Amino acid sequence: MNSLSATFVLYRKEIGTLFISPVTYIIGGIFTGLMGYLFFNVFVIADQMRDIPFNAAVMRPLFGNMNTLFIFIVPVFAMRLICEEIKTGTIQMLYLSPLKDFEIILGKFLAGMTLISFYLGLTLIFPLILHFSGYANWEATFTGYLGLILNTACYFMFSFFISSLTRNQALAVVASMIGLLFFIGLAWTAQTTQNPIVSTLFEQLSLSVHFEPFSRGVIKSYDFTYYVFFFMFFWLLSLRSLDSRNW
Amino acid sequence: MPMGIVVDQLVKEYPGKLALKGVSFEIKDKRIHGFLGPNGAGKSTAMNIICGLARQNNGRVLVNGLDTLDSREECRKRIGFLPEVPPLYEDMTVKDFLVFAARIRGVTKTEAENRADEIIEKHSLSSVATRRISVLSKGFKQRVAISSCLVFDPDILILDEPTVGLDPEAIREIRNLILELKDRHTILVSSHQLGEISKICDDLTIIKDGQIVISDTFENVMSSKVETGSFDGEPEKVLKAEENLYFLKVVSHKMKTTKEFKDEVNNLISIKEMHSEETDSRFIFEVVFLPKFQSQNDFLKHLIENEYEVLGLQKKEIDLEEKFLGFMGNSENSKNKEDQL
Repeated sequence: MNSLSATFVLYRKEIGTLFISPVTYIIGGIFTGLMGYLFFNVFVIADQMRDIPFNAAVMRPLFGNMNTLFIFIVPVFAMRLICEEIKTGTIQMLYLSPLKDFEIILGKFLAGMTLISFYLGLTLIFPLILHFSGYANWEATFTGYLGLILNTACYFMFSFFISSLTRNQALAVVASMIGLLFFIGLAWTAQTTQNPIVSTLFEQLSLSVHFEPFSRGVIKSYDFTYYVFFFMFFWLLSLRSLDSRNW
Repeated sequence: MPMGIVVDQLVKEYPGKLALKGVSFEIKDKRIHGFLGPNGAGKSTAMNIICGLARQNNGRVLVNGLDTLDSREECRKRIGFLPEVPPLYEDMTVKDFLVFAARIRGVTKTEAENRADEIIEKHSLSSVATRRISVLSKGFKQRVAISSCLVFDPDILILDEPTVGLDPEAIREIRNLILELKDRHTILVSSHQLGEISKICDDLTIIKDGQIVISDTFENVMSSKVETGSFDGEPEKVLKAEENLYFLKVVSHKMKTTKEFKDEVNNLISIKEMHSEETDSRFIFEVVFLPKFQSQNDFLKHLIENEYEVLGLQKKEIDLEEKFLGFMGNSENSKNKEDQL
């Protein structure tokens, strides 16, 4: 059996662990309930705003809300996937396997993304409602979900890095949330900064700025490139962190 | 290919601390090797290096003839390691966990399931095979953890404190399990429970402050000469060290203080430990001593002449605990001498 198969074994195990846990369904229930509540509200407001396309008036704020909620959801699962393993010592079992550090992270990342995809799948009810109401714009819906997947992938990798630094689970979750809010909040800082160079720099570093075009149905190559770099940067930092613990 | 493990001049340095200072010892094939030392002596560091979880600053480790640095993956395949805190995914069932432990080590699905079934049967885990690990007792959890180290059939098993925190019944079960594994595996066991080590080990290594104090067969370690404590006599007159320790229990009907008794026998024996007790106008003395002369006749004669009633006089068996403490004491003494120099 090669290490790719071992990565798949780890992925299967993580999926089993995540989907057997009641926490997954409690968070899923809260997430879906909250999104339903927000959908109803933006639906009612959009109905009164005739000058904005109905689909955009409903789905864009909804994507923004989902994106914000994932800032609080992803660190919890990232902590369970990495920090908890370090704390309980089970990570040693993985270190002693033929799996390389990047394969350990890959297996856990894929499991985390499967969970997020499950949550996102639950929200497909909203564009379906719009579709059956005659307001669907499936292109924008698709790019919006793509943007959310790219964003949450970055959230996971950032949270993995933070989780790999500590055995303290609460600290890992809170520090990840604060860090992610910082990357979102850079866009607001950019607006208040007088210096145009600094303002542009902050703007381009912000996750929310690069997510916004996706929610509008626009895919720009540099937004995509930003996500790839963000993801790779924290992937490498996570590997470095795990490696330093190992040796 | 030479089987077993050779640890050669291992040095490990952490920031501000030299954890291993040129440690060398050998773990022979298909033998149980005990690894003793106080907390912080370097046992876990050495074990982590042997199984590839940490890297040494200097020296080498050969696992079945393979250098752990040059052939890291190959060496890992040959070693099953149980850390002090057993790594268990507690939300998995016993069988699922064992299958996972095998599969993550590269065993195919069908083979992993067969091996898990075999181990469950062999290690008497059938009654809990479908139960979640979180609900098991500590003893069962430890058995599951040891089983997970064996499910991919490694040549070498490294167990760090396998009986810590277990009740006597569970300790006995784990001990028997380790003894059963001896025929097929080379085993390195660290433990603070010296009684347990003495019951299962063929060889013994004692480490202190990152240095090996002694490494030899269990019999040789037990028969090696080491002072097992300080004596109130003159050490140069003591015949031999611990193998000549005697235990004496006497009763005196005359009033005697401990000091008086000591003064009386000072020329004949060196007292190591002494307890006295007064009951019904009788003074009972329990004494562990080293004789100062080859024959005990003079001493016995003295006791009888002074109207002592001898309840017992026998050679005292030295157990591993006393031996271990003796080594620790000696090591401390030599360190103090080094410091003074």
